[in-house]
Amino acid sequence: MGEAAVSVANLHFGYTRDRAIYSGLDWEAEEGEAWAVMGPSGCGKTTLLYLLAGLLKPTAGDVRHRGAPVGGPRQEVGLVLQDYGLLPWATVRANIELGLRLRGLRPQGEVDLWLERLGIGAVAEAYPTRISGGQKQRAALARTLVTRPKLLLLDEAFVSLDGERKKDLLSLIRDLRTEIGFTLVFVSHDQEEVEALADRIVILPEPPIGNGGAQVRLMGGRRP
Amino acid sequence: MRRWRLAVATLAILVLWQLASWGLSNQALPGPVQVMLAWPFAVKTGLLAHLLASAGRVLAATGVAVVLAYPIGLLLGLSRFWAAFIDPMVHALYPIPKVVLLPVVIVILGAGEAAKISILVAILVFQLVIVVRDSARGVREELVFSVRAMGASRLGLLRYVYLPATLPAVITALRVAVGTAVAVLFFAESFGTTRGLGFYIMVQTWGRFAYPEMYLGIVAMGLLGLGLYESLALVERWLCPWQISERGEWGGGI
Repeated sequence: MGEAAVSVANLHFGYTRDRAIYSGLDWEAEEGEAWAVMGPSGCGKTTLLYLLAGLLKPTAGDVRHRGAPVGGPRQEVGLVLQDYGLLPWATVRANIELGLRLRGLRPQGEVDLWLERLGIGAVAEAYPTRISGGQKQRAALARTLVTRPKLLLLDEAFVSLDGERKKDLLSLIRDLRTEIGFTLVFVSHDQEEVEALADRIVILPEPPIGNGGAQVRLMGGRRP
Repeated sequence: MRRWRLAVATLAILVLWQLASWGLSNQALPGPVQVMLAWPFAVKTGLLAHLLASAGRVLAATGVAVVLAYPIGLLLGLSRFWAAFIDPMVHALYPIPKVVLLPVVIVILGAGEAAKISILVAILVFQLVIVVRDSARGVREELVFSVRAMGASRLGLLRYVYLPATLPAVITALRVAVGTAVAVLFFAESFGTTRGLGFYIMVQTWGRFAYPEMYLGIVAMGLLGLGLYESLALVERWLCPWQISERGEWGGGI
């Protein structure tokens, strides 16, 4: 057993008191693993990412990152949301720089590097409202990857991408796992994404999800 | 194209004005040519100084209103605790026409600059508070989450999310509200002062039956409103460049 990069123990959470989403979930990902989170709509996949990112607090139980309790957002965690979360009032470049600025870092050449790696150099000075869904998705990824996170959380991060772009990006994420060595937890409904990235899959049932409710599958033990 | 349309509209107004003047044949409605001939005398009697005094009051009130409204609006938009206390007060006070408070303001602050600027601030601040509050509440949760996830503090959220998110609506509200503010300023300047277009129109010209100069004062008041409106369009263009991008082309101005 390796060290748990991220874990939840006896996790309880609900947006309202009368409807629990999690009621005692135990789960953990080892350092460097890639986990796909799957399940029906509304089962709490995105909520799990929010809890791991420290954006929501569990009503009971424990969320830990590298052994330390998660009390709020942490700089070594990167989150990419399905609707991109790009600031409409900032250019693509400024959005990517924001990831660094909020961590107290001064943007230098790395922003240009990520703009090129993700193929969005041509729209660097454009505002998000003027670029395509796929470009927004890559800009959101660049904003997170530029900070070289230790835990990368992706919520349906590839849905806006077409076939070739998606393949390229999945390949890039695989390479970056080797390069940066992050632990990856991603929500997906897409078999291609899961096969390309996941070492393991956790399949969440309809809520409330208690201990033993989630199924875990191993994807051939593949590691980068 | 826009300039051409504006020129045609101005010409049409001048023609209608001249026709009305001929039709009415009353010294209280001189034609535009007669009014323009009074320009040198109006300048000599301080029309431009009165215009500057009025503009200064509106600009000072706008500045104070923005500085007051932003923190209050954000507090109401982002804190349920404070909204529970202050929102009912805003709802109760908002429908009161602020100009009726002018006598009270004059009794408390005197008839000087403070009273005139305060009444304009009262008009502007309520509209701005409501706009800032509603814009802040309208920011999508996912946007806030994505910036919080990057480690933004509350100050960081204000700077990178809430201020830019509320700015376009605030400038739009100001463009609407300055028209009302100029109208009330005219009323407020008609007594207790010897400076401003309200004084110039009501006391210095109308009171002396100097109708051509009075119309120059009215035109100056109109230009003040138009100037403020267009200046705010430029401010929006400067501070909110993404709005241009969003609309494909700049949609501000007349």
